[in-house]
Amino acid sequence: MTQISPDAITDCLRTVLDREVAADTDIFTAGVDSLAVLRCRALLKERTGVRVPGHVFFEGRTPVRIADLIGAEHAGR
Amino acid sequence: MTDPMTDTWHEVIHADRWASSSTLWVEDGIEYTGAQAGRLAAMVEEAILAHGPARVVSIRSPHKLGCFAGQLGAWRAGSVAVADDHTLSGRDFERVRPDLTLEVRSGPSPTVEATAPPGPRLPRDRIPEEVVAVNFTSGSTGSRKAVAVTRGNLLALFGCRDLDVLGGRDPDTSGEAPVTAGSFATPTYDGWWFDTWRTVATGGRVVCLPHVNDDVFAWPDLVETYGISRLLLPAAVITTVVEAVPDCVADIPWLFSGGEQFRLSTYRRARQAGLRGHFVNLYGPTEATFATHHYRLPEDFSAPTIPIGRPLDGCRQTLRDPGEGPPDARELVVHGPFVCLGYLDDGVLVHRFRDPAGQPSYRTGDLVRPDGNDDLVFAGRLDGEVKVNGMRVDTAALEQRISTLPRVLDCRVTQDERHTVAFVRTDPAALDDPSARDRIESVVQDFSPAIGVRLVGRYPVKAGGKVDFRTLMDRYRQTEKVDET
Repeated sequence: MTQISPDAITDCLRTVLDREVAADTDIFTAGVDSLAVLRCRALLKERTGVRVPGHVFFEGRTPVRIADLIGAEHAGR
Repeated sequence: MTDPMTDTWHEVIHADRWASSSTLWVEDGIEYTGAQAGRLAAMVEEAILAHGPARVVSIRSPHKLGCFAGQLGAWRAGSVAVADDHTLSGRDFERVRPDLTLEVRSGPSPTVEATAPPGPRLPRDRIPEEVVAVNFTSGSTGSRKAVAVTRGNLLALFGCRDLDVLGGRDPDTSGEAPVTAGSFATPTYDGWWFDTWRTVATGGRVVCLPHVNDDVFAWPDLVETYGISRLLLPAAVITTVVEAVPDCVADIPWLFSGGEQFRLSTYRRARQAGLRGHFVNLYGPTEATFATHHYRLPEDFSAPTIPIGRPLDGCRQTLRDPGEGPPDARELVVHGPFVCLGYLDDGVLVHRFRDPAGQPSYRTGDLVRPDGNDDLVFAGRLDGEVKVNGMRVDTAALEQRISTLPRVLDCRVTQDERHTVAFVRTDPAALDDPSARDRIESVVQDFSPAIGVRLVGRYPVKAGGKVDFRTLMDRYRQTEKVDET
């Protein structure tokens, strides 16, 4: 099973946005758009090897929830 | 007496490839032979014929192969094929009034299910015989319109030499040397004809790429495994991919941009990211099958705007004095076999694209300027001049002027009932740099002091790849309120 922590996601967001995003922030109201999501996914793949689909970000919306969904996706495989 | 065009069309839809054991199509990790596509088409044809003659058939499928083989089956049954990836609306169907709807599923156990809407059918001759398919316009200039695509339109596209890649024609067929095309376009976007039908009709094969939001990271493996030689992407998707994941397209030798203006900043970024392939900017209204103009970017491209170029082989253009707008801009009118038959509404042909002499001709409503090398440069929409406080403003000129300023990557002007705003995309450091802002604002002021300016790091993009102006304006209005209070 693959796990990605909320911290791994906030780290990527920090790199992409060049500012802090809390683990319970709705990233889309914090200014994240589809390009930033793609950049984050590219970073996550580079750092963890996991190919996270975009819908996980769009459905999860907060780093905590996104991490949950990634865990659930991989547990279900 | 036989009509040569009918014969050629017959050859395409009854070719040997539909019995071939070679791979024709790759989708969701499954390879399909020509024979498998042919068998699915035969199931579709049988389902149509079992329900009596149907002039218009809607083919609904969650799979691209379902739409593709469904089109083939419908054409063999003499029907107009309207592919639907579950995105067409009730209004779209009212335009074409299907006699039959097919649910097609590909995969290891393909299925075809037919449903006929209740009520009497419209007469078969309601749509001229040569019409085989429908393009839906994007609706950016109003509601979506249904454009009647003929056999001749598609055959002209299949035979167009200017769309060849790898610089070769196949001497045996005098067609394009077989290519493996990546397919990104959905079946309801006119890029579908280039991605799929032109590829297969010239002996090539199609590899469906997952959407960028699904698994863009699968692209490099697919490119390497199947040797994808060309890929058409909407301009805004190229921008996104080049900025975030350039490696995903690095090994594709030919990248075609369509649907929107291909921005110089994207091309520069691509070269900076080490992409060495060829770039081709395509232009064409949905009313002209797929594309009418092309511009192959030279390695040392340096002009401020990427041209739409010159007419594709087979297409002709005239430049019409629009009687309004900027003095040196002309309205582009396209002529020739790419021009579709006309608009359909309520299931019948309601408007023909013809000049007074009865020849295929379509006024694009797009303004262009020649660039001095016989290439055309897009200069805005004829209806794109906006009035700001009663003054006409040439938004295309404003966008181009701003885009040439230092640290500016792109500029888009949009308007709602209250505001006209220039959204200027800059490099990140310029966002907080007062001197960059001052420079931009002073240029905008020259055009009109009533135009607002917002510097942004990037544009929000809609699912189809175009810039999401509604979201941009929503954000502007929110921040305006904050500024006012």
